[in-house]
Amino acid sequence: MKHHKQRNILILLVVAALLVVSAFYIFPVNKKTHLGLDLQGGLEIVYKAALPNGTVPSRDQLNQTISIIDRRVNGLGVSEAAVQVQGADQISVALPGIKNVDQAVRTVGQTAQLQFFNDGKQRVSGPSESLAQAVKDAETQPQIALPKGAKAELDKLAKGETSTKYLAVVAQPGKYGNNTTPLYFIYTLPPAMTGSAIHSSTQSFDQRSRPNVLIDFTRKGGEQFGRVTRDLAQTGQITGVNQSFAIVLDNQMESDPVVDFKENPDGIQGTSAEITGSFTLQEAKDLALVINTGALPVTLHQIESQQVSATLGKDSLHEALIAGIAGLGLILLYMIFYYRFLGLVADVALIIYGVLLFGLFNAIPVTLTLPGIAGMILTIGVAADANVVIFERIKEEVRRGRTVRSAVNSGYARGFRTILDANVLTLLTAAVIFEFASAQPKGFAFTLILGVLVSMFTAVVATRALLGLLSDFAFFNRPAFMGVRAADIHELGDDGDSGRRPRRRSGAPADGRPAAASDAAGLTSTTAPSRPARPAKRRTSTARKKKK
Amino acid sequence: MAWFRKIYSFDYMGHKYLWFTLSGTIIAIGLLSMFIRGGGDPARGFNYGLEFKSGTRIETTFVKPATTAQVRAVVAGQGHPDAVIQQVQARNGGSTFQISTTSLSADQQLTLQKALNDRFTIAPTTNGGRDWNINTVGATFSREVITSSYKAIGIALVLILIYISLRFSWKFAVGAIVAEFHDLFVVIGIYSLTGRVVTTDTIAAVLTILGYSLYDTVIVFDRIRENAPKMSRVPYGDMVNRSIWETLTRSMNTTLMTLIPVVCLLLFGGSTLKDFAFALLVGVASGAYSSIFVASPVLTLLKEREPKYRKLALKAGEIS
Repeated sequence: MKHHKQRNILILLVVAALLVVSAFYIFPVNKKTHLGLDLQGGLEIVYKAALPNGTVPSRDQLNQTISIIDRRVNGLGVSEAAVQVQGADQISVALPGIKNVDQAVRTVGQTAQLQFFNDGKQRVSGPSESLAQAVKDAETQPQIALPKGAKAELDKLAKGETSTKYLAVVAQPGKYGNNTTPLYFIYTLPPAMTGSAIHSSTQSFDQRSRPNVLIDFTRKGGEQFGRVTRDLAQTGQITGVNQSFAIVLDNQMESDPVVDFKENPDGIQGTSAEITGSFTLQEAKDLALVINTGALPVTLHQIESQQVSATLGKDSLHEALIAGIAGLGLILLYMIFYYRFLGLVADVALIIYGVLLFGLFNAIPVTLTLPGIAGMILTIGVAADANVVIFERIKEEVRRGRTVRSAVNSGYARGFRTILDANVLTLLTAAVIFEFASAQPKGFAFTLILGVLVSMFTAVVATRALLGLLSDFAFFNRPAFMGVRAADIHELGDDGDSGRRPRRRSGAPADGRPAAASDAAGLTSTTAPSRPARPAKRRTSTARKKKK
Repeated sequence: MAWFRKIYSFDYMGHKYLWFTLSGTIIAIGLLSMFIRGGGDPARGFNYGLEFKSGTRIETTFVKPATTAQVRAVVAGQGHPDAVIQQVQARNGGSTFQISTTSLSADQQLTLQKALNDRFTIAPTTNGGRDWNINTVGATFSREVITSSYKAIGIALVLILIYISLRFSWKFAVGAIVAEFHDLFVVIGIYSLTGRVVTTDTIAAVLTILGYSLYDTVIVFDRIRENAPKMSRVPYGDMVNRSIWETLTRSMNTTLMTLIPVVCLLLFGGSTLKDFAFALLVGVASGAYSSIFVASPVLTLLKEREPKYRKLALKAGEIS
């Protein structure tokens, strides 16, 4: 017994410590709570990512995409932006509390793909005045040799369709030499390099303080770029003319820089390159940004977007809080009404539960969303359920003639098995939702998982320790404290009766411990009124069965 | 209150076929509604929310007074004559409207926002933004929500089947799974009948019901598992009856404990929370019902086929 007492005190000390830690994570509330964008307003966009050939991207490619979007989003001044993979091929971008939504939509929604083409080897035609002219030029006097069947593919371009073999590229005024009208080109696919070759790009200045653009390649990208530029430099040496390559973003030519074969006879090797030219500062900045933003290894299609204003968010939070407080309050009242002193202990546990769960949420940290709050409110019920199961069991044991103290012990031991089975099933489904559902239900499932786990601790472990300690006091050893009273059990007494009868008859109670004479004497008077009812009830029950 | 006391001695298992008929009828009505509303395709017999169709839904508050007709005129002027305009509960001291259109691109959204702002002035928010809420969903997204939900339901049911088979036995598992299907069909039947909007939140709630509606079933099953060896000379149905009587109070209290917060969500929560709460309300109630009237009778039916229990039941005159 001494041993139990020490254990119970230890458990309660742990609970107290956890409460202090939780309080530290909870206060001040408005600073430490992470509100989701449905509660504080903001923008969420869900993209479906695909490789240019339409297949599902690898995990690595998705993660690379996420880090690029992260970098873009960081420029928007949102403190809690979240860019995450969702499902097999979706990326969700959440920008809570964002003010300039228009800019964000444009920056994040930039779904462009960056491609590099070797002008000498891949340009089929151009520059031409129109797309139709470019296609015609490509069919009649291609600049490189075309394979058989090229005409059908080129005709697709003229009709505005996409081809898997050729790409129509347009250079807006100022993007190709000093063009003043849009110019059209046709290139062969696949491109010499894609944006995945690029690590990052920045605007800088060359030795003569002219704005330039620096590109950092990935290791593999550097090798690719080395091959392309060596090719260009060698052709340049043969023809005596500097050869160029095209930087194309979303079918738009952004730049057409040349490789100086005198400066770089072997091409540009290593992992970085520099684009110089008659850039203005703004043009250089824009090109660096384009190369950065275009460096996505996948194409993104927006499949869902949601924009919530701060007002709607505040209203939703307010409504959720009212629902939560009302739900908790009613449960607290009902538990006291029905289970008396035990109910009070359960209420203390429920409040501890609320504090620990909230603290845990902030500590992880979990962003609080509406479905998350719904999950939290629902788990208040789950936590109370655990106590209902245990307390009913304890009452049953008391009615069976046990002392309150031993009823508490066996009530927990037996009740726990039921709670475990029931909660494992809830956890299993919540885990399935978490794994397979989309973003919003995920928050709900995660809350449910945390809630069920924390409630197992507060409703089972903590209340047991509390009751264990209290049962040492004499006042506690009165069944009336848990609502087992003649007036209370009138109806329930029948329940207890019918449940007990067969056991008595078979002569082997589950615990193998019939009501002993040494048990609390006060109990006799409590259980007495229900006893005479037993034979009568039994008869009616059998009679009814016989009639059938 | 005499009738109330009767629930602690009622012969639940003796009326198995009555419960089966009752549940069957309720489910049949739901399925019928799905067929009729869906025009022969039950999957279409629901009022699907935006997530399941492609489209754009805007909710915004105007400072200047506006009527539905005026808003419709402006929206139609931007090339969206088919838009559905609804005035909803006002906030922010203005008039709030919901505008549903086909899927709008980012540019179209901005043009529309500008046109509405020019005419009615969109209310500002405390953080310097505007009271402009917009939700756009593409067709791909809705397909994925549906397929992932089917997958989740399938996997959840298999896991439940395995767990209950391990902890109890396969006959208990069958009882529980039949009860699960019952709850699932009752919920979706009611959604079809009432025409309530089905959202992704509804799906999450339905999935939760799969796990949670077993709470009461586990309470009863646990007691059956405990009583069975002690009452081996009693017909199985009688033993199940007794187990139900013994656990009835806790089943009712656990159901109540869950329904209290759910009802609070339904009464006080905003539209998202209400969506959740309605599905949970129906599911929890159905789960409590099915633990006694579906799961236990199915288990009894299976057990009474075992020679030992068949003999006992014949002796007691409960089956013939």
